[in-house]
Amino acid sequence: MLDYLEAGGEAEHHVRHEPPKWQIFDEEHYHGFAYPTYSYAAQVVDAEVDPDTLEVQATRATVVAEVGRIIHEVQCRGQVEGGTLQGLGWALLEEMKVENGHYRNDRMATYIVPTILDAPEMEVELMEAPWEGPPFGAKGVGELPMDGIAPAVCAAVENAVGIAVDRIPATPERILDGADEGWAS
Amino acid sequence: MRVAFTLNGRPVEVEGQGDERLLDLLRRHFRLTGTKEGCGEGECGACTVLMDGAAVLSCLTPLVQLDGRELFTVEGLEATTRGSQFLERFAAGGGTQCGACTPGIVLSAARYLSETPVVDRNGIRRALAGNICRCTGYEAIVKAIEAEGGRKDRVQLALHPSDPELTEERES
Ligand code: FES
Ligand code: FES
Repeated sequence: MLDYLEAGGEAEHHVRHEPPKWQIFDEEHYHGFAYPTYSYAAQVVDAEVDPDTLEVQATRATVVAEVGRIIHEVQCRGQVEGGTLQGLGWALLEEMKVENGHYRNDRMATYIVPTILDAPEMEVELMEAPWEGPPFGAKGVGELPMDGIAPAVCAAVENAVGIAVDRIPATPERILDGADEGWAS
Repeated sequence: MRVAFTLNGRPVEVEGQGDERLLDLLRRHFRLTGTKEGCGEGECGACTVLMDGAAVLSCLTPLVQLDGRELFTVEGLEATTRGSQFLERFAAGGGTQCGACTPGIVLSAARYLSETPVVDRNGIRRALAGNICRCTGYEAIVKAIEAEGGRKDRVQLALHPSDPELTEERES
């Protein structure tokens, strides 16, 4: 092959992945296996709540993610860490506000995302359980780490101050609402 | 108006509008496109450069303020041996993903590492408080800077033209 290329030839190499035969999804009728398998994660958040201002600071996030097959460990870990912080932003800070069809917070001065000072220390454990369907058994990791963080944050807040917050972002105002509405446990 | 300053150790002079943003000057006039525009309103830190050794936001710095200054960009960092090795290590450890924040982050980090004999997590967090990263969750960034702080040959900023490291690089 190398000899051939060096002699000035051109070569193309195609590889195609076929899902297992039974994995069929009918786009027209929305029938079949849209989600033939799942990645799994467990997420734990340690948080401190200021008893006067009800501000929440996440101090530590522990994530165990089972992603099928890890293809690039550094990037995979990066996806989990980055998604975890995005989930935390969603849980505590980020809210797209729309009014009369216009975004009220359409810039970084008004749409607040976590800085390094908002970021908790993170511990990420990756696990592999390759699955027959996708290439190399990789199930996917991008969206996974965002899903469990908000519930974990709300549980941490409840654990700390005894107020159940049922809306996110769990801003001090909403936590206070929770207390007013008599959810204090 | 005309201003004269040093850019990555090299004396330069430019003629331009007083309110021209340093960010545009770097990217368009000098073709130093390492410096990125994120928000353009002083919130994100993607456009961070060093002016007289301090981190400034080039989207908020007008040309009129540049006369007599020493400016240092990510290209200047990369031009030094230690700087480019630091960048390699930073990337290998996952400190960058999409890369939009990276030029600003590594300059803030290099400044902190140059000035701080004993680095720690809280110091790193304070030094990088003005640089938003949307991708990494910051964990790999903090770890990369912590690890760099433990090295004997850690990154050192060469801000002045007389700094042997930078001069050496340029002559070779
Ligand atoms: S582009 Fe300058 S701070 Fe965002
Ligand atoms: S790597 Fe994408 S914003 Fe930091």
